[in-house]
Amino acid sequence: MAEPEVTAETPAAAEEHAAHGAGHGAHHAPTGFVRKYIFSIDHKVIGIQYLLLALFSVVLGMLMSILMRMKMTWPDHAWPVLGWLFPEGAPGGVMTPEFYLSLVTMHGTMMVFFVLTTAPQGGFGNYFLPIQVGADDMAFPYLNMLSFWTTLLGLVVLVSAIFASGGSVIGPTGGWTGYPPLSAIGHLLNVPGQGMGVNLWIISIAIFCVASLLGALNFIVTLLNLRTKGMSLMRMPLTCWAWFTTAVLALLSFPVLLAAGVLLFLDHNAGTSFFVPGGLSNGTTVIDHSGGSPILWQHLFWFFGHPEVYIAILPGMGATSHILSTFARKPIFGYRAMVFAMFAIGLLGFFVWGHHMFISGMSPLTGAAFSVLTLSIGVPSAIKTFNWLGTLWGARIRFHTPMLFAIGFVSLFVAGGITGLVLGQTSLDLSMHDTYFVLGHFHLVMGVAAIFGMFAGTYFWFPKMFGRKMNETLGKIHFWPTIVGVYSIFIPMHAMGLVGMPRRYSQFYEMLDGKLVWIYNFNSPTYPLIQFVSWAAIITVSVQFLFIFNFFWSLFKGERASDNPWEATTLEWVTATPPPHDNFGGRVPTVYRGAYEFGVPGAPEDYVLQTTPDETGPNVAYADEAEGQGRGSSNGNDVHG
Amino acid sequence: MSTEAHVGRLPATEWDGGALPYRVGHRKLGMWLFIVSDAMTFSAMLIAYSYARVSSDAWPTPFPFYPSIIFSTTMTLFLLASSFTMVMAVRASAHNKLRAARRWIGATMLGGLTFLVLHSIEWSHLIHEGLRPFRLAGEWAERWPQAPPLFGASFFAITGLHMFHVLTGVLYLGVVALRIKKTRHEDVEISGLYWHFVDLVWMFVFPLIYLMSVDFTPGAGH
Amino acid sequence: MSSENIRDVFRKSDLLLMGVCALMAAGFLVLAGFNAAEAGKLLTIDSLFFTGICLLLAVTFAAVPALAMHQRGVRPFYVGDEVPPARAREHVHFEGGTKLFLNVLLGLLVLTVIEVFLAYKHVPLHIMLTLLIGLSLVKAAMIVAYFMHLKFERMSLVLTLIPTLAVCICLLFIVFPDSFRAGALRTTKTEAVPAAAEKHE
Repeated sequence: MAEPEVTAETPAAAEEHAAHGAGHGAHHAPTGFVRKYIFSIDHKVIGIQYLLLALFSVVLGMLMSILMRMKMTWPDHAWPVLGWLFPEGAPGGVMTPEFYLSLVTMHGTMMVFFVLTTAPQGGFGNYFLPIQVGADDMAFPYLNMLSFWTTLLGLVVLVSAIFASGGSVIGPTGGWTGYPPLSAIGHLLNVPGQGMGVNLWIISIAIFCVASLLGALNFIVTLLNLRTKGMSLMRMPLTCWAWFTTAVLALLSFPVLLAAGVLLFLDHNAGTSFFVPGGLSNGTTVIDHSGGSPILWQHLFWFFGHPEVYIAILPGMGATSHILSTFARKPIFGYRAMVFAMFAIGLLGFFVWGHHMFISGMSPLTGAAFSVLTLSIGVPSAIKTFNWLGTLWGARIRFHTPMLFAIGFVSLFVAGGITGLVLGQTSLDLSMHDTYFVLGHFHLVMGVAAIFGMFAGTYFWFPKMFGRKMNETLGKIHFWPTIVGVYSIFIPMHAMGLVGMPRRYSQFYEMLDGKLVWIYNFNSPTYPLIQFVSWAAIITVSVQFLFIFNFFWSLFKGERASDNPWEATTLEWVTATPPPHDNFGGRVPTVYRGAYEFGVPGAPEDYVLQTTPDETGPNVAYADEAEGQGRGSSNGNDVHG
Repeated sequence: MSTEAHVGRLPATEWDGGALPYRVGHRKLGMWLFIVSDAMTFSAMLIAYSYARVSSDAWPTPFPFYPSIIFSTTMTLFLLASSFTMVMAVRASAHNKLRAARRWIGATMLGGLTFLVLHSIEWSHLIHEGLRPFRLAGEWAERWPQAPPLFGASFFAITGLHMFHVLTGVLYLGVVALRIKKTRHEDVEISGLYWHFVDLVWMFVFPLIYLMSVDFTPGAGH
Repeated sequence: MSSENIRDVFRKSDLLLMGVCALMAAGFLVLAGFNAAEAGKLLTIDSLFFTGICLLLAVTFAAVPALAMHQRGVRPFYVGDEVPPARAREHVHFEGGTKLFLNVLLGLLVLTVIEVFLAYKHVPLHIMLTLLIGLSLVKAAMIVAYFMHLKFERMSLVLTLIPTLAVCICLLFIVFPDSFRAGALRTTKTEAVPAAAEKHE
């Protein structure tokens, strides 16, 4: 194996660091437990903290989805445990429709914000972006810590909504999109969960916005300013590109949600009417608001909401590209095309939010424009898919667990993405909007595919993070039921949607005198599907506990991992396992080649580390090489143009 | 450096790693990104205001030229002047004239505080007239019966958010001024960036909220 | 001539007392400000009296620590002419002089006066809006270019920040067709439609 080429930090550079005191990388390894593991400014610890936060949220979110399936499938069955847990929300163990709706809201909010946004970006991105670009920490370590604790505060506020929403519900009942007028004035009509529940929900989202914004800023600066010598943009691993694009999206879209959240908060508490039209009434109470427009909220929300979809999926794409190339033992097919496709997806992601609003009554011209733009996202997505397939083509694939999940990601992304093309057309969307078709579509592509990206990342990077491998056998046992399970859950949903089953309904049939009575008769053919989906969901969720068991078991009992167990090429595999406090042990790596050099003719191994020098030396020349300096100037605080 | 040793190699650009591609330090780049992000927040607010105004039957234009517009113009002048003093502070700091820098920052804070005081006087004046986030002042409602109650909502929301930024800026500058001996020049410059941004936002809030609401009744306030 | 360290000169109990005094002074200052803002009209006897009393109390409390520090040679706000070590190594290149910045300020003031003049002349609203936005964009560009010093940064930074922001803000304008539609649907205008139709018949 080639020796990693690292440049020792020169005394001059070290002195520079020490003198600056507050500059990045100047902090020394902390000693106390609190400083090391709780209020840590080490990006690696913060990354793991984010991952644990997401793990907590995902467990909560999954349990909520199971409760939802239980209500829908066995609407009148009494579950004594639920009656004991939620005496008002499930009197006698039978869940009320309001309780179901609050489950919908909390499941969506938890999953979208605290799992899909937090884990791939805040977790893996935080841990591996600085290492992969050869930096010793993020650009702003303290800001990084602040972002995590702000995110945690947001989660605490959201969880407190479970308890503070009033006994009959566990949160607002308006869904994760929080559409007004319900979210703005529901409390005036005594709708359960719309008082304190909505308040806490908005506050939680606003806090999360601030946290993500600060995190995104940190990511962008780190990637731009802290790349090590030789790490040119086109030599970065695709994971870094993905995290970078995601950070740009987050930086530009979260502030809009923040503004919208402030306005909604004012509507709810200060009596303003930004989002509330006049003349609303529930038959007994007339609402004293007028002049606003709920469509405005939809615009502002989806201006954030659509980029958010890509915030969830892009890191998964990055991890998948990374892992496919590594286990196919081939360079990624079309690296440049991958980068541009990623950026195109990010850019187009900003132009298409209107496709969530086709039935809001928007002008047909706007609808057509949004439709065309939406369909055009298919082009970069297809580029990525074909490049993934091109990477796999003719390869001697090593089917380790991370690879299985990465291939699963490709499969799910294609399956879920295709239906996106269906929904992106105004005329078709008119009939499919708010049906189970939409539910199946976005769960496949944004939910499960992103989760598969995270699984792949976890199995792949676990050895680097904790020094032990996760159990392969358990991993494979985890993979197969999961992929079969998620398809079994979400493919039938498309069929249900075509039949016309609307989403967010707590039940479609009830038992009267032992007889099944449908609320809408046209839904009756879906009965076996509803049962099947529920059982599939229960089984799939149970299998996930295998993953959690594997995770914690391998932490202590897993097989010890070497520095580069997967024989990969990028910088995280150059350093020790687990990486030392400053990532490279006081030495700074120099990068000589691209990120995916597998199967290079003439090389001693079938992979070449990014730090392996060319015979001719680095193929870019640095002015300061001759003077024998390290990278004293990369501190970033000395240089003024 | 000897060129012979590097024959056949591309010269490294600042984008090839190990350097700062924009020749801007982390903190300054971070502040620029924060400003971009914050600009989006204000844009969304102003867009919401414009949306409400465009979609309404009528919109009150209640501010007489004198005193309201003159008053808010005075506020604008204070903010502009404080931006000038801030840039002078940054210049003094760049030349390591710390006493001058601190004095200029002090002047900037004074400008910001004056703006805040004038603004709160205006707020209390409007509140005394009966303007609330959820309803128009009594006389306005009579003059513009078709108008929705959103004037107060957008006015208080947008200027309130801006005031919050000014207040944060004054406190931030206070910290910088107190620690001027310990701060690097770049940090002074960054605080300047933030302050100018607050000024810049006002350059859009002032015409859209105030000038577009000037009273059009003949002879009003002349 | 330099400043003593405050912790070397005073005992802990003295420091505590001075801190309390400073807090009281700040409190009265806030009270004065609150009173001035709340009174509505500042120039009444009552308002001036209360504000004045608060300010006087604030000064009294502030005087205690201020005088004590003055006597002991503690000058917390003192900055010497010597360059502190943290800055000595910085090589700062700063373009633009007083004259340039004064010119920019003058330009901004002139543009502001033009804007206010538009309001004075009661220019029709839609024309005024166009002109105001145009002038404000020029003002914003001046602030960004000279005060925020972007003109003297690298072109790559300009090309990163400005188009990003411009695209995103322009995108938000897509909401306006909907707002016009909502405006057209409002009651008074729809009531006007049948009336017009009757006339036509």
